[in-house]
Amino acid sequence: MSRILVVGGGIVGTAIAADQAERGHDVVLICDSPIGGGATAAGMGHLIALDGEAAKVELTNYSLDLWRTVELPDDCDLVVCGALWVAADDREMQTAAAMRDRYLSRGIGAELIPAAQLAELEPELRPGLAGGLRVPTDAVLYPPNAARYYWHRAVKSRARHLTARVLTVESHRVQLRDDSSERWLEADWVVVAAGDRTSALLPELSIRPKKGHVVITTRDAPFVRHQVVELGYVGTTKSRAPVSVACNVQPRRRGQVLIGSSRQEDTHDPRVEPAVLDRMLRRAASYFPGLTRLTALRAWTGFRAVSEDGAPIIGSLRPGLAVATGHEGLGITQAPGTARLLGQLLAEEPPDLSAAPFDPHRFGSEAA
Amino acid sequence: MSSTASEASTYDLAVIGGGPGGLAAAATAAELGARVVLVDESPALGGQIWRQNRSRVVPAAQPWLARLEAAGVELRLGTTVWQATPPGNLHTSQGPIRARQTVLACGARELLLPFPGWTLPGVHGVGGLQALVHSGLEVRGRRVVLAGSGPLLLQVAASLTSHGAQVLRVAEQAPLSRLARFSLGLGPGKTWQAVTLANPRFRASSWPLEALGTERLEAVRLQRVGGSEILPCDLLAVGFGLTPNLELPRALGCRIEEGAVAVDEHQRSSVRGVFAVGEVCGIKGAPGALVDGLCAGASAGGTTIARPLLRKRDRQRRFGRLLTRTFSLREEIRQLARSETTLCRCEQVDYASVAAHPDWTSAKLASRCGMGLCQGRICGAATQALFGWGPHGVRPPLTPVPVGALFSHDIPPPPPASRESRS
Repeated sequence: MSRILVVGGGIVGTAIAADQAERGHDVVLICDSPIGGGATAAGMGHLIALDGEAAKVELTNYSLDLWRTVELPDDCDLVVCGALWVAADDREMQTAAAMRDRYLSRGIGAELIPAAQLAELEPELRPGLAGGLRVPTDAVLYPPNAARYYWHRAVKSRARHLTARVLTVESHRVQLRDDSSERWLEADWVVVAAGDRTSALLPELSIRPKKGHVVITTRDAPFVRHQVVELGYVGTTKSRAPVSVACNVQPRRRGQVLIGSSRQEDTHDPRVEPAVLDRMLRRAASYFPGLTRLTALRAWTGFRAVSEDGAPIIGSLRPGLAVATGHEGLGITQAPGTARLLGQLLAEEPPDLSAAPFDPHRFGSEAA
Repeated sequence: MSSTASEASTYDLAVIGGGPGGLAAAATAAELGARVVLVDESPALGGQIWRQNRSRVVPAAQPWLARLEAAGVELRLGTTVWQATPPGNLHTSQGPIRARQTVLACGARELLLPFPGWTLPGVHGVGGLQALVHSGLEVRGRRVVLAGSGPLLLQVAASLTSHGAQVLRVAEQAPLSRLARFSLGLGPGKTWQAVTLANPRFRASSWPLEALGTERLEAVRLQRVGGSEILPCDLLAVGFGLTPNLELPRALGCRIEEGAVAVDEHQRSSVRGVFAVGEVCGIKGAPGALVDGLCAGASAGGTTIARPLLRKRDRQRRFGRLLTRTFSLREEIRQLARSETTLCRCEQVDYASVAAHPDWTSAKLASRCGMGLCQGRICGAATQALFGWGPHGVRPPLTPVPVGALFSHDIPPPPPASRESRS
């Protein structure tokens, strides 16, 4: 049995804590905010088979399979609503067709939706759209309680939680502050799953925060059935523009509508920016004109953790020090696979998928 | 003027809230030559205390309304401020407003605390029931019990009686000894003592234990000296005092002390260019709010506050502190809820699910309390009173508004026509 210190109580940290505790290790999870807070609480909470580079897609699909094996409690508000990628014109419809082929080749169900059927599936979409691509297995959930679900599993296997601020991480030890006293904790492994705070703890890793805005409405009559995303979304996830927005509208189980999304680089300011809200909501309303009549209840922001190449960083950095971060907008989706993969790497078991694309040393820094 | 200005117009002063404090501040500053805009959520001026509508004109408000008009104060009624940055950049449901200075006159709301049965139909907030009566609810012949704490109980009891209601009991949790000191502190000629003594239904050291009924309220069980009493009734009005509306002050970054906006002798908050008046800087009642407003109007209008006015304001502040001391809640009030008693009404979260957590953020994330329509205004204030949980962060929109109101300007143009052909 090893002593494992997990730094970070978001979905990735709690999933790792569960995996490690269930392997029989002595796990202590350290964070200074509530379990399931931070970027986990701020995110839209989708389980989505996002198209993209092969390695990321492999981690996503591996994780989605794991999500399907867990029995989530009711308070996680899981809804398998499916994703509907909307094509504004014929060019985007061609993109949708190519996406469908890639999905099918990976064994994921996906169907092209012609323009006429689009209105039947989502009557609130504006007329004149070219069509879409439906991925029926994609889902949404309430992320804070998904993290708490993993945490409850960890606790069942005797993991403990320490509310403290982590000041320093090193191989085999962590310096933390609780109740204004500072001390070191020793361990066999320190696992840093601190999202966009990772670079502050491990300066040799470059993790940039990418700010996002989200708006949620009050409960009302059903407005959307699927998570509806414009096909331009994939482009914005890679955009390096100062601010990019895309229509991403979700139904929540309790009758609310969640509206996103925005991406902003080079800011650590957590405040909601009316100018960004304006752009984001206009974008969403350009697909759903009726959105303007719904009642906005809350807006908030969060910071996605983005690595230099946009892929997660998962694995051992040095003996006694491992890391799992950089999931950008897919932390919820990829958390179970990340935890399983890291567990296999730390136990020196053959991993279920190739770990090289996520190797912390791939950036060629001195840390290698 | 246009109520949907698409570009921010710059004012010398924006006053937020059209109750006594806001009216006095706006009129005073405008009479000193400032260009003033007064913003209020409701369609009519007067605030909670001077609430007016088509069928109700409040005489006390009239001179102020006349002064506002004479001084050329611009009105933006039915306008919600959903976000603000100092000193006076206001994002509103009717477009942006820009001002060099702001007076916060956002008032207070009732403190509602959970007790068994408090969500039954027929149970209202004291102020809420008053407002319903003003807007036409018929109470003639209805049996009413009022319970909780504060001067509002007696005020509303008198108002209900004048509307023909049968007031069975006014239960005030504060002990008689404190109430007596309060009466003495007011000095001769004040109404409190007279009203109290004149009301044979009044009981000190009495509070609601449980609202009884299946479909709706049928009776209330009250704690009283030496035991409890059950009173069959049609309506129960409860209120445990007032709590300042701090969302906007906190969005602006104003320092909060003892649950209210901290202000100096000029009614200035800790944020440059931002003043606060009335209940938002300490519960003190309408006369105190008026004096605050006169002071802030003078300061914001660029003149000094007259000495007699300052003395008056200090007297009102002392009265406010006396109010707070007199009606401070006893420990038993914090123990009324049972495990299964609803604490967050919007999201239907019970007391035990909230109390299991160490702080507001954890409780909110896990149980969703405070995530509903009232944005935690009711249960957030309740958990602060019950568990001492610190005030939670404020997020825009400070009040729910239509999604379209979050656009900085107009509704987006329709999609390009070329795509229409495909539908």
